[in-house]
Amino acid sequence: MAESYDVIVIGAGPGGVAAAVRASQLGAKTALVEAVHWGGFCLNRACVPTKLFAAAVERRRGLAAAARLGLRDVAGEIDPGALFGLKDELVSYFAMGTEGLLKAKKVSLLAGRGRLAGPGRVAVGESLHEAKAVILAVGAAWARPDFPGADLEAVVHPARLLEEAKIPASALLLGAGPWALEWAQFLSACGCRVTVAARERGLLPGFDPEIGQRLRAAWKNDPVTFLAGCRVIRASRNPEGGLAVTLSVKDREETRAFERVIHFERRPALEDLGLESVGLKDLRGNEQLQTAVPGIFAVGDATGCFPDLSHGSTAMGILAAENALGAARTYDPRVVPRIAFTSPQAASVGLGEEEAEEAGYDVVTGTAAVAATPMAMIQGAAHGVVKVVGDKRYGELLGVHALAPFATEIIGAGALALQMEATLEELARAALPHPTIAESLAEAAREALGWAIYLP
Amino acid sequence: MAIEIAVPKLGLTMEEAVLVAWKAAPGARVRKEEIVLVLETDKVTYEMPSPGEGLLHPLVPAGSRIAVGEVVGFLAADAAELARLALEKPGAAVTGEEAAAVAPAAAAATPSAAPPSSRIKASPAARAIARAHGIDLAALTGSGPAGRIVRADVMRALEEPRPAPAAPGGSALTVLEEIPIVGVRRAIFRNMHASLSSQAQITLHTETSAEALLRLRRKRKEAGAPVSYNAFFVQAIARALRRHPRINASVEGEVIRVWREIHVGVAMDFGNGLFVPKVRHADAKTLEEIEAELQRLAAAGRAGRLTLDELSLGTFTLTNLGAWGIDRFTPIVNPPESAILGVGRIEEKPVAVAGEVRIEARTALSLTFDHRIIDGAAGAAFLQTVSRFVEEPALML
Ligand SMILES: Cc1cc2nc3c(=O)[nH]c(=O)nc-3n(C[C@H](O)[C@H](O)[C@H](O)COP(=O)(O)OP(=O)(O)OC[C@H]3O[C@@H](n4cnc5c(N)ncnc54)[C@H](O)[C@@H]3O)c2cc1C
Repeated sequence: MAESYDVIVIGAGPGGVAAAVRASQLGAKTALVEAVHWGGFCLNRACVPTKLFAAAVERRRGLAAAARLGLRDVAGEIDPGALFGLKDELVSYFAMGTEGLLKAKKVSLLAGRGRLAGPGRVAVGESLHEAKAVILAVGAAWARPDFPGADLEAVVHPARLLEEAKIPASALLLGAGPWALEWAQFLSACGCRVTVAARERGLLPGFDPEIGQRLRAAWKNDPVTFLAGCRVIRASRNPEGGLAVTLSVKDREETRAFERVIHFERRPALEDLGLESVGLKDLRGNEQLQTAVPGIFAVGDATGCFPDLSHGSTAMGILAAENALGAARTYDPRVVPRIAFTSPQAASVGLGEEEAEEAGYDVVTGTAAVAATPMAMIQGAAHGVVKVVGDKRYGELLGVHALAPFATEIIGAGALALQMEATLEELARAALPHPTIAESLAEAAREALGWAIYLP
Repeated sequence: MAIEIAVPKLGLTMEEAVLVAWKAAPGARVRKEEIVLVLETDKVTYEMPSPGEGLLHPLVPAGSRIAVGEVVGFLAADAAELARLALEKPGAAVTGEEAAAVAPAAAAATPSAAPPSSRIKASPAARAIARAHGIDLAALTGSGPAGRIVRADVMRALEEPRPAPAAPGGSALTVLEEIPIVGVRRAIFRNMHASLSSQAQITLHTETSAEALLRLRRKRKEAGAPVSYNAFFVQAIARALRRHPRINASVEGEVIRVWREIHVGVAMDFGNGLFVPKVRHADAKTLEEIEAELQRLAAAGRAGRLTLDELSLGTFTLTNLGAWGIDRFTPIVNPPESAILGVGRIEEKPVAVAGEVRIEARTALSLTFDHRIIDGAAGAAFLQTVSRFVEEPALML
């Protein structure tokens, strides 16, 4: 039965849910199509499960240091079984919540695979629907690496680990981005022998390099092995089980054994989406998130504009819904913070120092060492820095970068400051609460302006 | 006793000035150190602080030409004294827009208060950029949330000068604004014209690698002692002038005077005209000293506090339009000097080196000089020296 809508959104991840709710709020008759799970990849397979794991890792570290705070006889080993159970519980609770929310917001839910069937038409299973505007929020799909042996069963993406609900004895993780590092820490905390292999030279590519360098320093005594400038040449089955993986490490070949190789790369999920029916090849859009075809918008991981970030998808979803209904707002990816729930946490928003220099700014930076502040000492945090990047000419704030406990929370202030186009001066004069880790943000800005208060 | 308001001598050679505006209305109370009037010589604009506290009794109207030391008004201790002064020394009626503008404010007992700009919704960065370029935020339309003026709005206003409104009903032109050619503007006006009419100017262009310069800046920055491009060019010029003293010269009557001192002026724009403060004895200064001096001069310039002495007696001028994205241009000599160096932006370009194309940061250098006294070869040699110093700063040492 063909039904006619103002807006049809395909994909119920963070981007799609936000788009559908916003469109409905603005009075549009809205449908949301989802093939697998309400809440999308983020809720079911990525952000929520892995943050639960990160919380366990962090809590365990806290327990290890508890004696310092006068707590006697506490110690904690992670029981992965219990944790996976809790994960299932939380995820199904939130998925149900998402479904309920969408209904409360008067969004029509269409379960099934959605496909474009010409301009203004979306097919879901057997039924055809019409829409004045379509928003594609289909996310990304795992991209298998291309070295010989990558198709072996033991080469998996992390969502497979969630399904297996088992911790391998050893694993090689490909890439040093935030999600790989989070998994690395979690697996390692569960007793897995973890090696991280990255093509790049440092951790957290895309963040201000100083953050990656400092994280690596913080991990010096960690059991995770990190191989920089490393490429997998091939993998084969080991007679005694697991994989024999040949690596090129700084142009030297070596073979190591792993139970699992875990890859993290994802690409826009464009298959069977019917793009050809409207003459689209990809979902890259303009600043207003409209694709090359008028009336078709795309948001989130589906656009291929990585880094893949849930809150970026959400921000895009809201904007696309408004633009689909006649607004002309523009999306600014620069104010979307990057985050890593590592221990310590890393977060970054805006331009890094080098990026700002390349962009031609007369750059000034300021850093505040977190470790020496009262709250860091209370928390027993030995590492950390908050760094601001600014422009000399107008004192504009260009970027905020942090490696510190709660960095993923603190960066919110930086993101807001950037979005509001703050200058270093405002940040420097913000009366941030004491004692907190966040107060280093103001001190870093003061340092950039040449009047750090607590720098001896 | 009433306090006299007399025109101060702002520089060694200053003899007269224009009183451009009174900052308080007649009869208004002015506090000590509060700005009471604005003076303009052909080099500086000076906001004069009040010598004391009292009720203002101006003697000369805004716009008058006055000599150094002349008494232009009084501050009366009280209303009775003010009335007496008005009888004894009837002041010229204070007319002109400035006084009219301050009058209502004065009535409200806050003489020079501007309308509160916080009523305009604008982001901090937008405000900072507007301030730096003298853009009136009130004239802009905001594109941010709830009409907030954001960075992009100010940048747009900077990039495309607002088109003059079409003249109503045909081809007649309407005046948008009349800018009297006085003070600094008059000086620019006169000098620019004198420059071209009194000298035979020629410009030589060259282009050079800026890689070393960029490296040097990066290093200095890392070392915590950043230097500006201008400081570097001032040093390069000063050192080159030492090797080519004939460039550091002026025509006076029938003789060419070659100067011993090397005072390099740097063209600066603070949004209200062109100023060329001088770095004295630039050839004897280190890069750090030049940088510090430039910073001091720029700060003074922004605050409207450059003195006549800081603005006169230069022997060579640097004008750098790199920050404006200008590739290259033909500068005009600042007489009585005889040469000026124009610097364009630094841009990456493909260059052919030993049969291979590679990408290199390049900058254009343009030397204009008075061909009456400097021969082409001499000018070219000087420019080549500067160019080599830019390419290889170590040669300066
Ligand atoms: C291990 C890991 C951890 C992560 N952790 C974080 C984190 O902590 N914070 C963060 O911000 N980001 C995190 N990310 C990134 C984040 O998960 C993604 O950026 C986010 O999920 C993108 O949201 P989206 O709405 O664009 O797409 P998705 O969340 O991928 O949702 C797309 C939805 O569309 C559905 N769909 C696809 N095609 C169709 C179709 N044809 N018809 C119907 N439905 C369809 C899919 O089933 C899916 O439900 C993580 C990623 C990984 C891999």
